[in-house]
Amino acid sequence: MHIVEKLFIQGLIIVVILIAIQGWLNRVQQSFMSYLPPIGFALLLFVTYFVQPIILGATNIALINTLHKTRGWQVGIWLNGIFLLLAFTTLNLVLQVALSLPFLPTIGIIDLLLSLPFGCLARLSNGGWTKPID
Amino acid sequence: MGKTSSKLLQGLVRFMNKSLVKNLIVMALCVAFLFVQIFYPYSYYSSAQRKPNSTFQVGIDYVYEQDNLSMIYGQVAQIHDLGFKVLRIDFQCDPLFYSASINQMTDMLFNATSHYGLAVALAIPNDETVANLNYYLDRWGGNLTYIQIMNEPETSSSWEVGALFTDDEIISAFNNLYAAVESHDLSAQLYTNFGVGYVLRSNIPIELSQKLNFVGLDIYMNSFLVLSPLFIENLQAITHKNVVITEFGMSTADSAAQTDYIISGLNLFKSMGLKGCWIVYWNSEYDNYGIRGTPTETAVGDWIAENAK
Repeated sequence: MHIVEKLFIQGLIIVVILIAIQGWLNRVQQSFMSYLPPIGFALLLFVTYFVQPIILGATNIALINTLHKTRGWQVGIWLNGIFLLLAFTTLNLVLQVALSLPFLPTIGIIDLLLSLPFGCLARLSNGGWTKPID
Repeated sequence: MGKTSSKLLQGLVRFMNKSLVKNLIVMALCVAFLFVQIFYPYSYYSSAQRKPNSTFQVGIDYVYEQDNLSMIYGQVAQIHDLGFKVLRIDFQCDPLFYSASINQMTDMLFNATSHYGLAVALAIPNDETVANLNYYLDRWGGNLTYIQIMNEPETSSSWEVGALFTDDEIISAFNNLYAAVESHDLSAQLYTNFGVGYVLRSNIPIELSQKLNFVGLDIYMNSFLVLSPLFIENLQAITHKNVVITEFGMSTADSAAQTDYIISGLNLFKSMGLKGCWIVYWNSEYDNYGIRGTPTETAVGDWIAENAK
């Protein structure tokens, strides 16, 4: 498989996960905040900034190791995940503020169109080793 | 030349591919993204007038009980002449004596606002009784355009130290006042205002906004002005209601700082497409919020003439 295809697939999978989680969080935000306040709010923060980055970071390194035949990782899973999350939410915030676009479907479609650059960012933000690590 | 560039690029890639370097780059970018998220919305909206043709209503909080009876009519006229469209007032009445001094002042105020066509927003305090509220609304309710049910309830029941409301207390007090207001069948729009502390008790605006026409947000201090686009967007998202800035001001003896702060806020809120911003205060005896007779009064009047006709 060509490197560009690998990066596109990696970016597409990461972006789809990000859109799905963000869409779900937008839908359930009120329910979280209304659940046994302030426990629900704390749970929302926990899911957004702890669980979500771990899912993203783990998926990203799994994709890198599968597509690029490497092992291990250079950047911690949570840090890599929060980096991808912040890159995604910053882009969305800029689009939302500057162009007054709604997250779904417009910004979601733009995000999907940016799968390749996002794949490059995801690939460069972490990496495995081509030799055994132990 | 080509070979040298290629070698340099390969060297750079090898250097960046080191785990330590990559970790540092990722962390630095995370910090950069955070800064963009915090400052970009304010910077975008305040750098230029994004919605120059949108309607924008500037209001002001008039503490008329601190003036003499004979001054009130003239003050309302002055406020009207400056271009303000809304007058926000505190809940002031004496239900025991019909002709009490404070009742005469309230009569005078509503005579003036009716004459000049100013919309009036009544702020009902958190600890107000239903009996007093009924008296007020029976006597003056028809003059009101907006009724504020409770004041920053997420903060406290009163301004006494340690007077923090529980959620149950807020909701039951709100429901009592809301039922009393509704029983008068007035045409006034209902709202409740929140301070930025609502983010820690977001269930309160979510719960209360279901019975309101819009929600208010109170902005004080430069730091919260910079963060206000994020708060406004969040408050709109969780309540599904329009947000109006219902308290906005700065207590300082430095008129230049006060003017800069208020004008930059007005520019920001108009640029964001909000319906309006109500300044605190017109007059203020015990602190430096009042803009009456200061250069800020003139600057705000000029701003309204240019931007909020």
